Amino acid sequence: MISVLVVDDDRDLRETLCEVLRDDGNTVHAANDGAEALALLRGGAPVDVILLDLMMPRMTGWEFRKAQLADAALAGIPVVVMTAAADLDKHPIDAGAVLQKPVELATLLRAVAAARR
Amino acid sequence: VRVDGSDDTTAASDDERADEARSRERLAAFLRAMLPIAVGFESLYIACAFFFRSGALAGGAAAVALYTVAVASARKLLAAGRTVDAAMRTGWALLVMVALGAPFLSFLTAALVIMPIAGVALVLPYAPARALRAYLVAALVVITEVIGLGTFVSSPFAPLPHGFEQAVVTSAAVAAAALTIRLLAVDHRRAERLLLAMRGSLAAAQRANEEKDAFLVGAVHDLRTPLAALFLDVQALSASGSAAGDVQARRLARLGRQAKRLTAVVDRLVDVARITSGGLDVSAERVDLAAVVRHVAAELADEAEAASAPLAVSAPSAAVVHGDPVRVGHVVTNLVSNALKFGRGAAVDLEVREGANATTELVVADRGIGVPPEERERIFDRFARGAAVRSYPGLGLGLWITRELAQAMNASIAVTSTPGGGATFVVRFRRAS
Repeated sequence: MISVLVVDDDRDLRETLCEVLRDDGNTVHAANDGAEALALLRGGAPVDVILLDLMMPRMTGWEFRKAQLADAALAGIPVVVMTAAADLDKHPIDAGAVLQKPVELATLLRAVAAARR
Repeated sequence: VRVDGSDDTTAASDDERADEARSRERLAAFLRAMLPIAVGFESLYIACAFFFRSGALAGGAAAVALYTVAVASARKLLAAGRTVDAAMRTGWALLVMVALGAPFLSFLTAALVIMPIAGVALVLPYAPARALRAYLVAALVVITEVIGLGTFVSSPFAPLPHGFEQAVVTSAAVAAAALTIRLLAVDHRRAERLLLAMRGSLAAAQRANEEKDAFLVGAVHDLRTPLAALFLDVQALSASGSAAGDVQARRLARLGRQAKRLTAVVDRLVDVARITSGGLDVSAERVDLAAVVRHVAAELADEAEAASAPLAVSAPSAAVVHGDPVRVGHVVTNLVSNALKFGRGAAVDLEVREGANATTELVVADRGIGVPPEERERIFDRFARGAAVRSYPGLGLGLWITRELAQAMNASIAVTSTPGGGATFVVRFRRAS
């Protein structure tokens, strides 16, 4: 069982992601943006993998990743990026895996499981 | 392989170079001829001034002396390759000479009138547009003064024979006309070339635009077809009640919402195509703005809940305005969606109220990130965005479409804002009595 933190500002997509991850036997936490995710993690939520959207208000995925890597207690948590951004070559993100939206359910579950290992 | 356009461009620039060489040659010929003429006039004036002991003729001599020196120095400038400087100096010197000599040389009025025109013909190929405009204005002033003063100030000589003056005037008029025609011919050739080049790029742009429109039509079709199937399936599933349990029902509701969102994006693209091709059809009917606002608020309740931003509607029971019922709805929807997107999850106020000058105002106010003063005009531009795309992704078309729709209905739109304190959009519709 993996504990996944889902960070996405689209409510419907966030809910869907949580449901499919839960159905796959994981525990799930959810955050609306980078700032909320950071607060959750610093509040001590036990998270094994972060599933991270990039383009979000308040704190973007890029900003979140930077803050996460700067925090020694959080830097080790693996990140799977899932994004609809079309210009990652211009704005690269330092993450274990990067998935383009839309994503197949099997691919998503595989990527989350692989990140944990 | 040669591209069509490149041929024209090369030919045009070759022509331009030839033109410039020709006008440089004309300037050189002009300066070569003018120096001895100017020196000759100078000697004549000095001799006459000395012989008649006339202060007036001495003034004329000073004017011609100035021109002689200017022509000599222009020749030096031309030899040094500074063609534009040479042309400008000669042109201005002509003007100054005419201005200085004018009060003393009434009998030469007509001959002098042509000089500014000759100066323009000379300067035209080189002068930057602003200098040329200044020169033309100066020439006009000088010509007016020369004619005016020539009429009122009497010649220091006894009047010349009538026929002589007429001959001078006639030849001056002919010379002036010839110079003007020549000047226009030079300009005409240039204008024609410019026009040809412009027509070429216009045709290319039109072709590209048509291709883009065709692409959009195809893309929209390919997007709408699967959406239609998706919608029908979702609705059929919901209606049949075959969605077993809460989870299925929830997923189905989400499916419906997302399909609606996709449809809205497609509709937006269609609007863009219509607006840019000028095919936006807007009817002029009586629309109850208050009812539209209430309807939109109900439609967007889901979206508002997702943004955890309550919608507060304040509208009279009816407020009839001139507009297109569907398009008024789009305007309200776009502004509310915009407020929800940038509103940072705080309440959004919708108000319908009476405005000045027989208008009815739609007010959409959020408490979000706001619009900095320098962005307040720009946010209504196509593809413009007031906020960082990485934080607020989107097409950058919503407010542009909204303004275009409003304007098509003779309504105006404006925004006021305190950065960080939210934005208030006001649309003023024409009130229907």
